[in-house]
Amino acid sequence: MPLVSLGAKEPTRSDTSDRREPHITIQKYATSVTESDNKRLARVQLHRHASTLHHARERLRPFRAGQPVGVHGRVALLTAVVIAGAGCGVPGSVAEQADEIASVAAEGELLAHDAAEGHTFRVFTRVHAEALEKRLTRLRPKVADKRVSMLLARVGNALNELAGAPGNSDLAARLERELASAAEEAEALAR
Amino acid sequence: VKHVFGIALGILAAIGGFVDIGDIVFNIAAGATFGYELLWAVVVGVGGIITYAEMCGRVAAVSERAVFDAVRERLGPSAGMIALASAQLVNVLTLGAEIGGIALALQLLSGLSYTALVVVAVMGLGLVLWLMPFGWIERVFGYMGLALLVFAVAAVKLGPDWGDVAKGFVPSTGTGDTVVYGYFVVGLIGAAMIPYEVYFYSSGAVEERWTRRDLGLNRANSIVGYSLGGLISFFLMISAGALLLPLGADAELLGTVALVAQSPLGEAGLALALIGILFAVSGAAIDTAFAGAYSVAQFFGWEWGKYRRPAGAPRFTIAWLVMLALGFMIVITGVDPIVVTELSVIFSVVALPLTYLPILLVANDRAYMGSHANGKLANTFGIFYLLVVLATALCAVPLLILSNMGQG
Repeated sequence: MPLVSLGAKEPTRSDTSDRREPHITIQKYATSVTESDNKRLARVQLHRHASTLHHARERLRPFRAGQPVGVHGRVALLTAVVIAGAGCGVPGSVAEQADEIASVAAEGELLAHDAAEGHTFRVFTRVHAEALEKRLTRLRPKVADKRVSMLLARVGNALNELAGAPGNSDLAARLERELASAAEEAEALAR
Repeated sequence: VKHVFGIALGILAAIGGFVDIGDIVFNIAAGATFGYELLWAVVVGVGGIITYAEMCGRVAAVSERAVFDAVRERLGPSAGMIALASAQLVNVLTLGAEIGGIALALQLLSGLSYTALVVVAVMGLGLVLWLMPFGWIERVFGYMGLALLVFAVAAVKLGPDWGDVAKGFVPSTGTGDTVVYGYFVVGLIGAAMIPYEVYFYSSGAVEERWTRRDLGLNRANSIVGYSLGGLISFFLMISAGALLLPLGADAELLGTVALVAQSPLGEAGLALALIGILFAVSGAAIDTAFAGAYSVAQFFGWEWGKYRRPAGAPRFTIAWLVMLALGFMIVITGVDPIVVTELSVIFSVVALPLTYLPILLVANDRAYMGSHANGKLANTFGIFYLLVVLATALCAVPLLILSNMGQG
């Protein structure tokens, strides 16, 4: 899939190294502030400095069908629904799969962060962590690369742990770090 | 004072009732994918729905004719039947998506099984449709949908670059993949102008027995209500652009939408977001079920109207029951409701000209409208938006194919 340049400028090599920095900085920052809202917002601000290019790649796959669908009339529409619902559009290349994992891990990191801070409902954390893990389940049968497979297992395990103990803030804090690290590695692999 | 109060309540209901699952999904997804670049497309879509809602509300108030009365008469039986079939197909898909959305929101609140909650959602909708008076339906779901204004607070607290936000209101060709960008433009315009909204709006005007004296109310509801309702769309996109885009997180799940409010606002933000989604989507599901029943009853000349009670309009009642059953059958298969949402929005775009052309024709017919027929301003906007919906209708399917159903 062609890359989408969101900021009208493609990242340079230095941009991509900058992309990793926010995760590290966030961890430092997170321990240095006491006001949790400020911490979260600061974290978001730091993320905002990240390179934009990789975010564009397949950020949204509203339709999961893997192939173009004929669209002549209702039959085709219903076919499209069935194909899309079956989740046939699972990313095929290593880069695409790594990008998908990076996206899930980044969202999981955010979810774990809020769970660690106690600023969420346990039910929500559990259900959403399960839903994120389900996105990985869709990917699992298509993964052939060992590095992707390991990343997938790491992120999947972290999300399962989060879903299993959504009220454990210490665990959530550890999982936040784990997911942040996995997101970075997946992003690097996607590039 | 009472009249002004009534108008204010109507506007509040219109704001809360503006957003449906298509708006939520497309605005959050567009923000996560393109940041604020597509805000202008929301403006275009909101302008379109204001133009045609005002027009069909005026037609209803003056001639007591709802949209599909006009469709049958102006397009004739054959073309009218095509319009009806396409409208119903889109209505059923939309309703399926809304039912799935309700179940997902309930699941995020309760943690219960999705399948069980689909059943609960359909039964709840059926009870509300059967038992609750029309005015109550409109207001309860509209007011509770106002909880989505939490995204305005979230957007401010996330601290976006307001200069970039302002730039997003200027139409552009986008800085990324043109095909995917075009696909989102079509989707955002389609989500704002989705046909069931005008079917419901015009039929609701007839239900509430609007007369020429209500033309001011119609104008206030459509212009102010939809404009302010569009603000929720803006804030959804801005929040997603500020939070999800820098993180590189997709927006493939309804829970992601709630997370966008939770991240800056904590539990209160999460609760308001989920309640807002639940009521906004439930209200839209009710509107869609009624819109489908209104359309078919008006086309075939059956007795219709919520005020008639189920026994007074049995075929109308059966029609919305069938709509609910079909929507249920779609989601109970396990198909992803977010996928169904996006499909319903894109395919509704194809049906838009068949909905809006007859409204424009009738609104210009002085035999029906007398001195309340379209003036120059209404026609300028009406023709402009007809061209917009024609262009988007022509582009929708090619973009669907060229973007490989949004995958690029």
